[in-house]
Amino acid sequence: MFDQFKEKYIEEVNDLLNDMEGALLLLENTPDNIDSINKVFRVMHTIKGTSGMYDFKEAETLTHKIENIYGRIRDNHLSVPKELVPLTLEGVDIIRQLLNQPDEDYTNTINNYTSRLSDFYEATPTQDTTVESNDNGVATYYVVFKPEVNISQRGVNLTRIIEDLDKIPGSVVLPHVSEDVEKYYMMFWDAVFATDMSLSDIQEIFMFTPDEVTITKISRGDLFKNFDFVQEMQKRVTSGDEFDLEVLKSFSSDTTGTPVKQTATSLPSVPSAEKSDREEKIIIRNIEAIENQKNSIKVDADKLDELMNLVSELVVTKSEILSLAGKYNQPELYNLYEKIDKLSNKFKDNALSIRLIPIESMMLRFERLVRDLSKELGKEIDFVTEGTDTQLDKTIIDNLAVPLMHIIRNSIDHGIESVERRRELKKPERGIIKLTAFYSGTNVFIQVQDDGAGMNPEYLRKKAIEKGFLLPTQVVTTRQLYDLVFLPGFSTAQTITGISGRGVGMDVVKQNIIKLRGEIDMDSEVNLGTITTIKLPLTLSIIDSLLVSIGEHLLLIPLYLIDSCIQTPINKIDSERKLFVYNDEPLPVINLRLLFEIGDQQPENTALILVKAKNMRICLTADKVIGEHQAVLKSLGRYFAEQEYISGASILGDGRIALVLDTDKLIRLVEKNKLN
Amino acid sequence: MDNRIDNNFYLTFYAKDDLMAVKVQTVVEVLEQQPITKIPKSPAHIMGVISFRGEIIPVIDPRVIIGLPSPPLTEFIIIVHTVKNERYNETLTVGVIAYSVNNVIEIKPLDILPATEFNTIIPAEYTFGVYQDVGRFITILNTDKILAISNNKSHDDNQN
Repeated sequence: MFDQFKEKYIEEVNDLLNDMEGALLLLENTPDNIDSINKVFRVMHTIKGTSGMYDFKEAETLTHKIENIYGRIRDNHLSVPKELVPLTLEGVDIIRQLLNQPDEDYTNTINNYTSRLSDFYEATPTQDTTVESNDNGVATYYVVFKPEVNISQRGVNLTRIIEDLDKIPGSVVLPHVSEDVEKYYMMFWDAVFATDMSLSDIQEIFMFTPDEVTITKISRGDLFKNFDFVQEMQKRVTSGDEFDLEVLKSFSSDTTGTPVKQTATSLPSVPSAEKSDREEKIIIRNIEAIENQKNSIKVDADKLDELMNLVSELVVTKSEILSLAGKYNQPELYNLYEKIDKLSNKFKDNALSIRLIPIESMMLRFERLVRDLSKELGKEIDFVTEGTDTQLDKTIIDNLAVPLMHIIRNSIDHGIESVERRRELKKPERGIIKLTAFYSGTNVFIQVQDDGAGMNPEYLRKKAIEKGFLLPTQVVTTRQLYDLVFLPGFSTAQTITGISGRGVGMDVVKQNIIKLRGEIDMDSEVNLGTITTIKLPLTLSIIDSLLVSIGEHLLLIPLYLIDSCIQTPINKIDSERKLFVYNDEPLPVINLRLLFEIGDQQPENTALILVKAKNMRICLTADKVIGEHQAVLKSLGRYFAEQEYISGASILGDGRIALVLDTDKLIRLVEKNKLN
Repeated sequence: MDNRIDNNFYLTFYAKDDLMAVKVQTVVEVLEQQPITKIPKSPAHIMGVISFRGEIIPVIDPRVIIGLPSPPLTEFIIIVHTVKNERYNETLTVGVIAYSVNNVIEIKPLDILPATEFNTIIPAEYTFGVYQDVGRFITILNTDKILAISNNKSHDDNQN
């Protein structure tokens, strides 16, 4: 039981750390972004609390130290020093390790790290230079608490809040009568106090009423030490009037008394005009991330799978109603069927879309990778993204992160040159790695492009011959040379670095992409850069397809591949050379009946389905074209793995099963026949 | 879950004239006759696939693996049960063609005899053994093994 909670906790902490990483990367560009500072502080605070509960003592100490630093920065309105971001990121990594491999001994790492944190904490100034006193973080606050009219119905304990305020040593709390009793509770309160509590501690008092309170820091010191101020206070207490903020502030020598509303839900500030596009993009992305977070819940992926199954069962059951309606000739039943039909279609689309998530969710990892690795290698690299709102099935995204990491890593390591080299080549000193995602038909394309050194075909050739992938006499195209990169054991790194170049990599990447029913290829130009393109299906579970029949067999062909359908007498097909002349163009024909050894009689007329392939068209024969079908793709399981030309199956509305053709394999078959 | 008590109960059924059995525990449902979708170029003993609770599952006829011709399927039922595949550590659902359900009986592990060509028509490797009931033999099927029989290449190759 406990383990189960612990698992949840680890998952939660990992999520929090991801959030925090985002905030940190933002701070690197906008060191005074108060929302990001708050975010780091909050995350550390939360992790500290839960870590204690689960006995992760090290994590608790570590987060506490980081929290302190950010607390100090926030309370003193400082901006985040440049060195602090890498230092904190290091902490994020240590916490991750602590949680994910708890059995190892981290004592040294942590001692070293925490002592550096402590040094940093000491070095962080507690006050601005214009400080008026050394009150050890004591500040004077003015709080106005104006509850809404229905506050008591909301179950908020007013007495408790006022008591809490009263409990702050030396606080002056005064009740007042509200004027607008339709909108507000009949009473409201204001209070002045000097305390060393942090702003978040004060905010905690009002945690159920964040919109009804205004907390203003009127001075960074203890104004109660000022005799005039105390006198003014006494005057107000006797008269019972509200405190006048302006008057209160006049006692303070600093002028920063701006209201600090609850910041928990506010968005990062709008970037100012002088900030570069890139920063703006990051900020906007973070805003979106925050917004998305607010409106989303976490669901177990298994539950979504089950939902999909239920939906397909519903679709099958629906058609049973239709046959029943036909059997008993009941118009009411037809009406009912139509209603259910509409609903279930919507239901299906909805269930499918739930599984789609934007590739945005991966970007943070890549940003971090580029940042860390480029620093390590002493390169200057900008990571630019485009179209990250493109959505993909969750399963695809989950399996895509690792291959993409590898490609980006390659670009950083081998692609982008060192600053000196780039200067020599008269290129901009900062290299660019650009990730672009976009839809095209039912596919999603993801491209990683760098403006680095590119791949040298001559060098690839030499290497390939050396390693025995090519014969010295063999003539190959440049593209074929690039394809060699995807072969196992073929690494072109001239020196093996810790990051890449061990010759395992691109082949594994390719395997992963193929598993996702995707394709990958590379193009390059010496000194201009390399571009890697990945083509993926939108989702693994649904394909718009054309339903055809051969004898009693039902087959599905992905719609986006179909060029056109024609009807022709079978004798028009050159069965000897397996060709059909269409608009004067001879097209290769695959007779599916023969291919699948379907024994029954070939009808005299056959439908030909023209399928587009990379650079040709092929014809597939079928007895009849039945219509379009949105196929929920199911696996046939391992026991049909030798079905080379079938990639899966789908349950039709009437409960029958249709097989999905693997057109890629069919095309390859044609190519093979051509070669022979 | 602790099912030790039920562990020794078997569902027996007729595959034509021969009595076969699978563990009751693994049986999910016994389905009425329904159309089976044939998969072209698949092994003869795999009759095809059916849709079961939103999934597509294979249906096998155990008699066909020994080369007996599949009798014309006029009336049959499908015993849907799960099998554990040790090698891939996964649970699969599969349907077995039968002609009627016979009974549920208890078979103690010690009473299971090794399969020989005298007590069952099914080759020993595709069974967990044979139980001798009053005057007749009941073959306990290893459906995972039966599923793994492939037309031409060995099952292990299919992974690659």
